Amino acid sequence: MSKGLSVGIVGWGAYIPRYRIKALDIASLWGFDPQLVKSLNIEEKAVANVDEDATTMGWYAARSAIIRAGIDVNEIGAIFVGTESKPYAVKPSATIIADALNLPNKKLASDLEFACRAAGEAIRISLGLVSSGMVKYSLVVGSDTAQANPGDVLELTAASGAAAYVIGPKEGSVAYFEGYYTFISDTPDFWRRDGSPYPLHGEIFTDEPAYFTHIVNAVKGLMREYSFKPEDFDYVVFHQPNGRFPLKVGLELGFTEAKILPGLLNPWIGNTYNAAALIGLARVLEESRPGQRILLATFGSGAGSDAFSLVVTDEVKSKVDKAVKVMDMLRNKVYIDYGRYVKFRKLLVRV
Amino acid sequence: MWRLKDILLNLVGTKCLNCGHVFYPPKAACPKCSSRNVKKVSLGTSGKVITYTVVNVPIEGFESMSPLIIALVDTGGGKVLTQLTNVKPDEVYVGMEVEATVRRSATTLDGYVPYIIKFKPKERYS
Repeated sequence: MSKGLSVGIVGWGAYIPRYRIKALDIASLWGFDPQLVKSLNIEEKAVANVDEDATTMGWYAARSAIIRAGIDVNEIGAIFVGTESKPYAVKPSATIIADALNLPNKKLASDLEFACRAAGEAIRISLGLVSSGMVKYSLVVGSDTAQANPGDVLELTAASGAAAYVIGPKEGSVAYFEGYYTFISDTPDFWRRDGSPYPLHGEIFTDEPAYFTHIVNAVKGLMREYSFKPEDFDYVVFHQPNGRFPLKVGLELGFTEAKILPGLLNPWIGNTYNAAALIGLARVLEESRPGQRILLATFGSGAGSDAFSLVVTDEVKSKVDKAVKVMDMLRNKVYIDYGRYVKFRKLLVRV
Repeated sequence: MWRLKDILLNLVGTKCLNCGHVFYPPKAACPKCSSRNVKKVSLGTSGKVITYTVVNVPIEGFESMSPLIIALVDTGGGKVLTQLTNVKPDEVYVGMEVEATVRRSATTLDGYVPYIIKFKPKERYS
């Protein structure tokens, strides 16, 4: 079934900033119908502090992943950072995070860009590197301070957060990969041009031709290739641009709400872009039991989706409490008003 | 800034092998006994606030982080003069438990983003 992958998740970590803004506060300021907020199934979103960015949040999540992995950092042979909000247009965040974690200089390091899916691609690359024996461990970071034009409907959900995974040998892993399937196509649903601070999106174009088509094809491809049925999975985690899409796509694919809800965090933290599905996976790992099977499906505009099948091992129980858990970060929150949100996300520029 | 990254990102101090004094930032000679017999040491990642001050009118570049809270933190391994983040001035107290975290400092004039260690309140988790 696993096609000889012998690769697993050795450690995981997440980071959710402590500040939250209510979606209704944003809607009220810009005159959106409260019904729109309800239809998106979004309560509030996480907001990074003024001194946080994709690099600092990625560092925190990666540190937790390494602590849980309990490995010698000198054995990490690669680090990939998936982000669409890197602090520098040219200068990698991967090297900053690596140095701040005291990782060895002899390693592969790169920032990847594929909208919200770059970290999913980094997992695919890591599967190849680890299974081929080119590296023992690969560190994958998904981190974003999602941008949204003030007053754009995207502002209701665009949020901040990070997740990180140490990918390594199946032996000793908390969950091993059984299979993967990627589906991509040229789909102009969402983009940000060079020099533009905010992305544009093709309204109705973002759902059926983009999110749903790519996730459905990736998941169905995985099911077909590995002979899985929806009932084979205990949890399913999807990319979550809002609180509605993951439920809709999950039900369409034949999964029950009970399998989708544990990994659906968008209603309480918003869309953390590259971290969205991966924080959901972290939450699911933290409540899962050995032997349970998890489906992870990422999505990135432009567009593509990776579907992965994972099986949880006995190791998970001994790792959960070694670092901060997703539920703890969900509870540890301070509400801010739109004014502080503007200051924190630098929406006003001092001259 | 780049030459200081070990100091700024990893809280590396120096320990005097003559008198045992630990100091941060690192120095080539011990500020207490002047011995040059020193070695680099890691100061740890958590500690307690010994004292602090609040800067309401910071120097140019730090306005967005105002009010700045500057604290002296004892990590057990040494004392660190540092910035506190994720906390308001009226929430800080002497003895407050804090933990190290990587954050941005003020962007330099040429656009470089310095990443440094700051401390934030230690969070209690289940």
